[in-house]
Amino acid sequence: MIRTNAAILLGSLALSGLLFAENVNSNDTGLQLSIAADLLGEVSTIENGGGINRLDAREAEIGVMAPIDPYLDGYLSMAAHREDDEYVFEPHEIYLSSSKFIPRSRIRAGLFFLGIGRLNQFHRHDWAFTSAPKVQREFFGVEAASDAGIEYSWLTPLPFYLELRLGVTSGWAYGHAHGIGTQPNFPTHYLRATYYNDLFSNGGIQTGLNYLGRRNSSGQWMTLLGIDLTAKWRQDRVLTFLLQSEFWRRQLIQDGTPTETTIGYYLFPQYGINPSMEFGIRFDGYAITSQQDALGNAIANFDYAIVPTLSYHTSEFATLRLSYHHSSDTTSSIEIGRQRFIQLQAVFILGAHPAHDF
Amino acid sequence: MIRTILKLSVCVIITSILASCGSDRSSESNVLPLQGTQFNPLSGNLSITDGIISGTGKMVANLPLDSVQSAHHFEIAFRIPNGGALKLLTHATDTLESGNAIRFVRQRNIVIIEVDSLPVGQFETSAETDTLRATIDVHNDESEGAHILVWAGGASTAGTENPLCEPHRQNGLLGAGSYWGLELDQATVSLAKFGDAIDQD
Repeated sequence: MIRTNAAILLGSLALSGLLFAENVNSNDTGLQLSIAADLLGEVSTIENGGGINRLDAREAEIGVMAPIDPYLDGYLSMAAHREDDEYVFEPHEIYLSSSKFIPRSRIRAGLFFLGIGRLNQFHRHDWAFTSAPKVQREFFGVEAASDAGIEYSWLTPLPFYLELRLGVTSGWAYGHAHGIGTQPNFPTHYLRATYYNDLFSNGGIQTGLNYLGRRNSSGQWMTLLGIDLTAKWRQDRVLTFLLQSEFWRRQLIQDGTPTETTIGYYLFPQYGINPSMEFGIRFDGYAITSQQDALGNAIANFDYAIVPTLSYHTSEFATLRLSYHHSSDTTSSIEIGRQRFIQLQAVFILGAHPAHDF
Repeated sequence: MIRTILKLSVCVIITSILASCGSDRSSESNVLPLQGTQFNPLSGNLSITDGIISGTGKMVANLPLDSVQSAHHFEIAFRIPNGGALKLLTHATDTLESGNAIRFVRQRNIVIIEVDSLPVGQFETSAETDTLRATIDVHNDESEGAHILVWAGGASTAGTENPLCEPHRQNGLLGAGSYWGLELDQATVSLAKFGDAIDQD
């Protein structure tokens, strides 16, 4: 089965290359093809340290984008990744988008990563670190929360940059799912306001305020409130300093049960040593603030992680990344889990790659 | 002076009455310890002898799970006579309501596994005197409903073997709380603990 899937994947990649090579070269249709590969090796430094203890092809992704007609653009992204010890090749994003129907507006419809938060809007091969912080894993998924629906963004006509976004998606599945999920009592919906302003010394900061809500088929309301900050300083076109952070609060509300409130955050300062090399340290925190034992006594709990990360770019198309993951989960002053492992990641991109916001 | 003492006495009595009305939870003195896991009896008649809990009744583990939306494994060792049963309740309220229920019921030499009162699998033939050990993964964070995997044996070997069954609860049902516990029906339990999920997919 693994061989069959691998053969299909390799065949698809080869076929895609053959089919699209001419178009990419001639560029007469505007078709752009990109392939991103993500290799990851992990070694635990303690017994049961949480690393996979092998080198693995974590993900391979094919992205195709092109204008469809004068009004619409199309984007397709297919990714192969491991699931149940087998490679699964599946659509990540398939959507139509347009910024030409309504002035100052962008609409996209289809299957996409929800346009909320910072990490959730990027494929993980584009992240500044290798693995998701706990708050991202628990609130969105190991990479991102994605769903099928429609999203509308409007750039306000104000003297400063402020974009407002509204999204509504089916909500059948959210986060971890092995299939299509189940019909929710209320679909997934989200709002985001993005603000940008310049900072001193050629710097800039983007701030996002976010809300997401959904009521699942069991009647449980989930609400997420979050703020994300991304500040960058550049010299010429070289990133000299990056500060990226997200802070989220989740509430799970269901009739007849106490509301569960959880907060989580990460903070990632990164210094550009030279144009090819960067060093950063990520600090993660995560706590369920409402947790009580069966007798009604509050339970203090806090999970943290410290992840120093060294990135080396051989070019803008390839990155080697070395990081060390040190984390600890504590409940009632007792450490109930610890992870210690080294990660070595190689990411390379073949062909075109879509530009990202800030 | 006497009036002040009387007033204080009335205040103390009223406060005591209000405090006792505030909760029907078990006091810490009733705790049943089982190999490091503290259980609080909720109903029935449960007793502990030589570290083994037996009888008929319901008990909730004092320490809850990480979250309502979480995946964990539960390892249990138990004995049930013909017609007896043991129910594992996870992701429930602190009175073990609105949770996921995995029930083991003996019918002569067969122990049937039920989820939401539907048979989903069974253990190999075993005698009534055999102590059964099972490891149960409950993934209460999946969009298709709680995903339950049951292995025969302990947690250390569970990931290397195929599960006896791996149903999803129907209609996308999930547990609504973060507490877990056991409901015994003429059963004895010598081990019950939880940890991270065995199956990580």
